[in-house]
Amino acid sequence: MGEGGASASVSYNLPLLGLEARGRGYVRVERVIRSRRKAPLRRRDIFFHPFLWLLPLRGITLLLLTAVGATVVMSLRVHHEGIILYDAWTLRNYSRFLFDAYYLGVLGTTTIVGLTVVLLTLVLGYAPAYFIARARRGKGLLLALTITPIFVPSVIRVFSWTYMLGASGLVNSTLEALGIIDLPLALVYNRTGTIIGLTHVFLPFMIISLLSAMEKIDPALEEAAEGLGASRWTVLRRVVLPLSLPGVAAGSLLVFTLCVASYITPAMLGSRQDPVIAETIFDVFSGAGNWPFGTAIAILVLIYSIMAIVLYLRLLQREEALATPR
Amino acid sequence: MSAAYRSGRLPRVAMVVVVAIFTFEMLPILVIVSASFGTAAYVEVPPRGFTFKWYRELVERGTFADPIVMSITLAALSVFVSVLLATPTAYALARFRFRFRRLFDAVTLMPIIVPEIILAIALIQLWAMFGGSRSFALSLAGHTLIVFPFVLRTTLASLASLPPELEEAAIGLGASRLLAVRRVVLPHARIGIIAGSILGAIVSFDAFFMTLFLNDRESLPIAIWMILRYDFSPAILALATLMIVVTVVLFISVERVFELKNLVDRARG
Repeated sequence: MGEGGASASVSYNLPLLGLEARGRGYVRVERVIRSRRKAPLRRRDIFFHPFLWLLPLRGITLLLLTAVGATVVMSLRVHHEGIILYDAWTLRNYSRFLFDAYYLGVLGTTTIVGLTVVLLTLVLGYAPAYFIARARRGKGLLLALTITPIFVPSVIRVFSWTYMLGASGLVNSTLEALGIIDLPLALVYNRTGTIIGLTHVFLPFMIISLLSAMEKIDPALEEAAEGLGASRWTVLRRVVLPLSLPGVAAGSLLVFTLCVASYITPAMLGSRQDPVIAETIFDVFSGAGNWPFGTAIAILVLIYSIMAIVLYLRLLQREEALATPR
Repeated sequence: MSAAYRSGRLPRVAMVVVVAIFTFEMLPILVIVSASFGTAAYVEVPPRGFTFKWYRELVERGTFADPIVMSITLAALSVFVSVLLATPTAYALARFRFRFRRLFDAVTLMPIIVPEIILAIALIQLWAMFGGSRSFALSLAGHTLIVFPFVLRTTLASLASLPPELEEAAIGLGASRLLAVRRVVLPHARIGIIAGSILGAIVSFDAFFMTLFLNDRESLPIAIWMILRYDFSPAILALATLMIVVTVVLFISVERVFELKNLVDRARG
């Protein structure tokens, strides 16, 4: 039987047999009890087998895999003059995307936007993450401040930016009042707007990722380095930065995948002439009604995302495993 | 010197930067809230005057009633189904060894990382194969799919602190596995389940494509989206403020029942 197991540090009194078991010994004792007293009952207890417990997960896995399968099937169909032909197969939907400068350009825009946002969230998020990690008081409050924006519906947050970045919006009028600019800057309905919006929306995710790595750094290391004569800057560069790299990697990957998936922010703050991949999928899928092509793009983006998951899991594996069976 | 590290005292410049970044994060939300009480029919900072008329208009319009009911129904039902599905899954992941564990682990993360638009497209493809069209049930399935990982992760997190020996002891004393789970595991996992439910409700409330593509009726984010794009009214600011208040209250209650940091770590991993 796979379940069960023993802890190395806890001891048990098993009054039944007058035995005390430690660590692995406990298993042996339990086996004795099973065989003597409860064996017939146990064999009937189907809940000892993982099968039943895993049914929901198997169901969801099956649902996801068959749904992806149905999408692949649709992506191989022919779309001819607004009609989907259900008796023909083609790879043209894929080649149309992969060999078209326009669609590759959309993927390029998405990647550039994603990388820029990763870089900005890293630069903006590093100091607050370090600050929270080393804060002695008010940690809970700081964390709440960091995380609350995640849960404000994204439609609302992004809408706020359409106003703030507009020609007479808060940002431009402040800059004009300060005499920094004479004419309002074009901050919205272009790539800049998308990048500002996405940076705002995903910064909390980056801070959380960085924070979980920084919390594991022993402050004594920093003290030791400083005690040995390193400047504060050197400590940051030579001690904190290398040790926080797992968080940097995990956060970058997370923010990048979230950027690739984003639709609402680019749709509201970006330009129609310079769309990102989710906007293109949306247009092809709902506007033109070309399901075969839309699903082909979806599958290509899915492959992109799965590659990210694999990388992400690799990174997490190095950290403490979440729920390893004991 | 050592005290400086522990207290997190940064140079003054760094402090200013940190404050500026937190302001950057909170500003859009504050702008909406303050403008909802302003007399101007557009967003204005700082707002002139103080009025509740947009809130009155919101109530009088009444066009949001159906989407609100739809959003709440979807959130409540998808959370309920997710809890039913995620609790045994969390137990299995925490206690059993089985084949393809890694694969299942990846699958539970998939709805978090794969774009929602792609999951929605995939679901409608499967549904269409069986001749179905957009419906409430399909939308509910979609919402459940993206709520499930959050409930699962928080429940797993609360199970991580429960030594398996407690159930083993119960079983050793004659309880069945099911009884041990009901009397030992479930009471312990309750906090994770509650926290996951609230998080999941927020995720479901914010879901866009799972309703737009799969449902034949509008939910709140879509109704707001339509209004913002085609027919702006400041009543939307009042609605947004109410939504912010509800989400923040929900969020603070998560924090109360469950330690925030754990939650975030686990939801991520």
